[in-house]
Amino acid sequence: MDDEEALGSNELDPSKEYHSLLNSKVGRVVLDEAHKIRNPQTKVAEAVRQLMPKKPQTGLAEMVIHLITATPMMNRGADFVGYLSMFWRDELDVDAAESYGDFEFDPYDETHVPEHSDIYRPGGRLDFGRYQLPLWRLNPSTFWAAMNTKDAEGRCLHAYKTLRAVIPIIMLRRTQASVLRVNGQWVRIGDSIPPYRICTVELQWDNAVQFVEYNRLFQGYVEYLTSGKPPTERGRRFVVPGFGQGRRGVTGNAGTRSFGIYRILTIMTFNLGLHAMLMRTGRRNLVADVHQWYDKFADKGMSYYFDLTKPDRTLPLYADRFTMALYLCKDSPKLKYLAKLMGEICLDEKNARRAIIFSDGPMPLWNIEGFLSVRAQTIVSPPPLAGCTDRVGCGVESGLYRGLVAQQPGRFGAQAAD
Amino acid sequence: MTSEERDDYWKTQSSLSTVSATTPTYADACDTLGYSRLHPTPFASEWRNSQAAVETGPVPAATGADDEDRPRNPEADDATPIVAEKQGAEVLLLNGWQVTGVAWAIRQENLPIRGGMIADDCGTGKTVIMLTVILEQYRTALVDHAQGGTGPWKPTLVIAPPHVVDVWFQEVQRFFSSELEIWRFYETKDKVTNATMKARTLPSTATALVHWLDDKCPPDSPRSCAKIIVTAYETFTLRTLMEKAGGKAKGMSVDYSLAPDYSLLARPRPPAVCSVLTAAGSETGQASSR
Repeated sequence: MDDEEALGSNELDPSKEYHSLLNSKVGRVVLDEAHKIRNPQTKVAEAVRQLMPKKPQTGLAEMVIHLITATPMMNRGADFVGYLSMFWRDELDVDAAESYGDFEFDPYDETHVPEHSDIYRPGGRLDFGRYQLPLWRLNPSTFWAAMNTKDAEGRCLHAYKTLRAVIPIIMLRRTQASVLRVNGQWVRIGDSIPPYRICTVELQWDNAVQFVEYNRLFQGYVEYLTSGKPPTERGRRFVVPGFGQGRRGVTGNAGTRSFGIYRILTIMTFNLGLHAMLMRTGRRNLVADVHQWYDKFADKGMSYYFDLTKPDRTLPLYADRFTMALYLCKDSPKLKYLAKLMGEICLDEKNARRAIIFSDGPMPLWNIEGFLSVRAQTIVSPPPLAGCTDRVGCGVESGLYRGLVAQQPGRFGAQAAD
Repeated sequence: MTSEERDDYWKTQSSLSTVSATTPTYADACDTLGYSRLHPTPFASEWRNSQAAVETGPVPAATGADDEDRPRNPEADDATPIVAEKQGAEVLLLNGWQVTGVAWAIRQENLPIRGGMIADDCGTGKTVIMLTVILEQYRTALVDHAQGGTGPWKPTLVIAPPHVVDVWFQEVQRFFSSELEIWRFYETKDKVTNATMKARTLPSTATALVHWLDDKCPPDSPRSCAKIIVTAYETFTLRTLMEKAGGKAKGMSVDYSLAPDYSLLARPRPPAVCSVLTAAGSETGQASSR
């Protein structure tokens, strides 16, 4: 989105003062997909907050706010602080003095929320005299503090209770399994709406297509990935998931943002002849076997791989790293792409950076490790995760993820990691 | 999907913890809103007309025992300048939970909180609930106006992600166009190809929008309530939020830069833990105190 790009950083600058040109011009604000504003310290959230008339409002506020979202708590309960900051006005802190006094005891212990009939007179008019909602609970600072209070062992004491006390005041949530009574019958919501259909499509591109696509992708984004410059027009044509936020240049989060590219990488399949090789050995390979190949020539198993997969039995082992790298890339467009990318990232004179590669299994990771070692890059593989004793076995059995760090030799430690 | 799978699905769904506000009952909600309990819709007369057009017979809706179908605000209908004819066209019929949701949201608007969160599951019609709320509040404004109320009446601003902006536009055009107006504060006129949308695209600067609001949405006209402006988060922020240097975050309504004061909420440590700690570390404690 152009506007998203033009907005640049979404973070509030504490040294600036903000105001909205539409202040007090609208009577009702509806925020759809409101989880976008769950972080209160963003410009977007501030733009909404600044719509509220600034003059003190003694009675009902002049502006109404509705939030609409199907995923109110995406990551954690503390996300609620962003929503509360939308509703909060200092005037709501009516009984703050007494309530703060209660804090030492337990701020959110009493979870009584008045029913419809408690608040309204029979005529349907709001009865302020009987209105007993503990509105100070909605104070974002109070909420934030209560959510983050930890005991000696670091457990959050009040998080659950706090949410239980706040949610019924402001949030209406019905799931598909919710039932309600309509004209004497119980109706389940999920029965009245059309069901979802979820389809998974796995694409299997042939090598030529993969190569062309990776190359275009790479050409479009290489500037951005290596130096933080915005993508070129050629690259813009590709919509890369997770790639849309905050383009600030190299001082920003360019390094982490480039994960979008890596995600594209990881959802493709490596087409190296590894499986062919494993089958050629004629028996089921044990973890120990692979381990042995890995260490045999101190080259991460690549000699062994070449020995097994070389087209002509009489060919000698490769003479230098370059030809071996070419050989490895022979039928894997993905490795070609990766080679280029790693070269641009790690070998750049000015902005050399470390790269972290994650893989969901040891086999592709082994390929990458071997490949990068052939390209004379320093590789630091973290030890296998706890509970896994074998280098290769850890991913297969447990389904855990491993990562490796690659960097140009000689630069290790000289450059701060991105 | 087998029946066992289906049962399993519902079992999982219903075991998910859901904390929610309580709504009025369906019957109460219908009564409050003045909807028919059999065919809850904000467009009662249009619904009857469409049924009559379909069946080409007498109107069957009025036969129900608890059916209190009637035009809700006769005065309001007179005061409304635009009432489109909906003959045989689709008329919005609400579902039960949507009616209670509308009643709840209107109730929340009248509370000091002034609003709420609607967090229903995907596909259950949150947009329709909100549009019905806007419609009902507009009708209330018309009644207020007829009874001598002075407002102020202001339009509604809908902020949505970019791909949802047009969904809101189409939803209003499809069901609510007889009474509500929707305007896009998104993109510029020259970029829009659809003729309807082009006519309903506002000027792209905030200053121009303020002029438009002052001109077309005077606070003393209840018709202002019927106007909806839809925009996208980033577009809206970019166009309306102004920043200037100076002031330690004075513009921020809520100051989150302050770290929460945990000492305020500190609980006394449970005595058991305290005694264990003292017992174990008593020697060191004495040693350091010497």
